[in-house]
Amino acid sequence: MYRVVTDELVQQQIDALPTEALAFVAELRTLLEVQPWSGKPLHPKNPDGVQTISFGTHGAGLAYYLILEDQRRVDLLTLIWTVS
Amino acid sequence: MFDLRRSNVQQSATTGTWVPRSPSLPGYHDSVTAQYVSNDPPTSGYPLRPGASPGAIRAALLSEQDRAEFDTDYELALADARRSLDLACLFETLEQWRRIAVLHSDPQNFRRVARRTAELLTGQPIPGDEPLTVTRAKAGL
Repeated sequence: MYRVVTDELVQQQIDALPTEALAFVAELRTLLEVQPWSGKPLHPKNPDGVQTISFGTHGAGLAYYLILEDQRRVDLLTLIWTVS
Repeated sequence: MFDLRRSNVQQSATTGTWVPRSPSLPGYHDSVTAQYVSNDPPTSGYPLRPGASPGAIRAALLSEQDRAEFDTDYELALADARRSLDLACLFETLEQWRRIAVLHSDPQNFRRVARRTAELLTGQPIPGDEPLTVTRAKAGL
């Protein structure tokens, strides 16, 4: 298990998501707790750097996060909903 | 629009999009090519939705260096598609750059993400007046 960390600003982003996205965010957190490496590196040349994963219907949401493997910790950096 | 029906993906019964055959959890679409196979491509609204055009992706990138790197990767992917008659590499390249462009599209948030990432990786606070290029290098962004 990994510990998923969200700072205050990310929590504000989650709070601002549409209602339809919230269930996906809860699933996303569960996924990151058990399989954080199932996302894609943002920059393929930096495979251990910032990771991304899409979520929600039609992949409307994108999560960006960093895995600190030695601490078994995942820091959620930002969540962006790409449907206006 | 695009119709890349690869054997390692399956169509979602609920959304109609193509998703990996063995996703970790429902609702996660991380076969990057799947983002470009929607039967219902976006025609309006936020320009960086899944399936965004190369032009929209390029326009959202923050710096000239980012745009130059995108141009290089895009040209290579186009050449590969022409040679192989397979669009998978092109779609994968566009989806990879779409994710970067989405992050760049809000410069203030991008700066915050870069600072946070750099702090986590270095274990040191990032000076408020540090140039973004320096912070990006520390963050690997």
